[in-house]
Amino acid sequence: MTRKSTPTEQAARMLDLVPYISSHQGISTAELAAEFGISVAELLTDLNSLWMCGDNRFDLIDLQFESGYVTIRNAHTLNRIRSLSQQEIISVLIGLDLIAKSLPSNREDLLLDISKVKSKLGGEMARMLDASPVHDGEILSKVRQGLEQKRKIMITYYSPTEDRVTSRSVVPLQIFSKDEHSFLVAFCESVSAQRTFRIDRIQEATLQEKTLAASSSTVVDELRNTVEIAILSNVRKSRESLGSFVQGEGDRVTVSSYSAGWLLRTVISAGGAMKVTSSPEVRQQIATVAQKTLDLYR
Amino acid sequence: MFLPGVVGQQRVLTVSRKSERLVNLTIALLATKRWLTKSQIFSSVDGYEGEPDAMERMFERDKDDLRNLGITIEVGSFDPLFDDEVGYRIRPENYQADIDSISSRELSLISLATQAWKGAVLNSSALSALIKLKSLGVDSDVDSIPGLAPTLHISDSNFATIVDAISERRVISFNYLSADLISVIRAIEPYGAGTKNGFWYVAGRDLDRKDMRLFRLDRFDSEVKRQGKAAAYEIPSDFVMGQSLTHPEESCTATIKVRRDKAHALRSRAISIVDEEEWSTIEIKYFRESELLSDVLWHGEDALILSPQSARDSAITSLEMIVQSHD
Repeated sequence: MTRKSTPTEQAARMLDLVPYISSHQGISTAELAAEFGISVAELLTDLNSLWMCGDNRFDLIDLQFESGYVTIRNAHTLNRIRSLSQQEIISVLIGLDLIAKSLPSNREDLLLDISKVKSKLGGEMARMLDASPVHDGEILSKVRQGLEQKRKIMITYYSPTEDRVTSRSVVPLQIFSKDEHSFLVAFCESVSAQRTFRIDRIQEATLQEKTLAASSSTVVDELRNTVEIAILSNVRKSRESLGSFVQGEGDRVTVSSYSAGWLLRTVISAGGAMKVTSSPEVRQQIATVAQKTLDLYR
Repeated sequence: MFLPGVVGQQRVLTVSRKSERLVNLTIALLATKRWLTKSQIFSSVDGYEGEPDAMERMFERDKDDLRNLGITIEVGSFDPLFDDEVGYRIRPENYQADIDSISSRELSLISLATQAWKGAVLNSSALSALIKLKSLGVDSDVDSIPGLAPTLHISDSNFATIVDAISERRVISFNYLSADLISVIRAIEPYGAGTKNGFWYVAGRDLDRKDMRLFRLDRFDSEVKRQGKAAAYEIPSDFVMGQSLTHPEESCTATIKVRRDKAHALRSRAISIVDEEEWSTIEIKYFRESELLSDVLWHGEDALILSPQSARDSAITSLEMIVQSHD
């Protein structure tokens, strides 16, 4: 809906409208537009154009839609579902594979259905594609429900930075995706502050009562620790471990993070490949932890 | 045009627009049992107007457009023994999807599968696939499947090019960042694509290295270019993308000393745990020593490598380097 369709895209939609309306006679224009992902105005343009089409001047498609409900007759030639394109098949196959790997273990019946659909659609193509979920689909679904229904969620959360598993009651504020991960921004009642949780690190989620009011509806950006880092070796791997918090090209980078603890652990875990060059306090912290660990080895 | 009984709606005669002409052409070619010649098409299909040359060019473009939509237009002649004018047609069996039935539960699964693409690169393909399958007229039965929210995060337009290349079996080339961040041109015969742990991969035969390789999409440093002809190679019959994404077996064992109630990430991987006063001794499996090293160093003073000796030595050397460069 963000851009105008090309004539070819519009033609494709007109061809697909015919069998869809035939099997959904009397569908409302609003519902039909929503199904096709277009505005009602665009749909009316399509229907008006389609109405002009036919085998010849005396055998036009009989299309009724002025009442706000659409019916079609005399569209015999076009009343066929167009074969799916390879890209369409691939998109469905990948989605199905993802679902198969997200299903609870007691749903072998659905696994069977999925493999049946895969072979109906793709056959040979299915083995070329594979999708494993990053996070538990049920957990993301509960988090979304909590957000939509304005309900608190009790979560069990693993934080690698703090090296702790905690249970906390949170009021969901926003879900966003960055790079490979989905995050939940929520007001955490245990610490009375806004926190960001990576959804794949939520081990359990239980929906709770409705919240009376959102504790804080504005999402605060809490990036606050910024340091300069020189990457001494393993440039690609080091940059990747700094993830989306990294700015700058090559081996001289600026890193802004939510947590000083995360930065410290990331630099030490790089095993000498990274050197913090800017903040004396951060440098001191890193040297101290490394020295203490070294003392334990000796 | 005489149109009896039309009230409210009006068939307005406008200059036939391109989209209407494409639909009319499709109808004409689908409805015909015999080959339609260009002159027959120009006289019977609404929208072909103007000089013969202009109509010719229009028709050539329209044919390309319909073929790009995946519609197969056949070209043939009435009598192969004579150099007759060629004709065109679309065979209904080629145009039509080869799916006759689908259960409502299957449709619900497909519907959920297409939702996973919301906001991601194949979203419009997923949406149009769902529309076509819904046209079979089956009602979906959402209550029969568990509440899952599958999501595929990929906005990289290279992915669409890659899956097209796989289905066409066409060579692709791209710039790829090496471990020291140098951009190197690679050319592969792509075999498969997939996602694991949030990363997206393409597997294929590297034409320079003459061997199978796995590439991560976020390490691509250019647009993917398609090269040469379709059906340029065969995908081995025993190729399975899932196997290419399987982590190599973690065949080595390390012994680690971890502080009580600390280093949860290591503890959750332990194959044996011996608890003492302040420390526990655990064993974990690993694949690469460099990965073991960074996993243990992450925990700072809470985890120490006891064996293998080589990993313990690397830990000590690394820590010495860190102290030296931060003092």
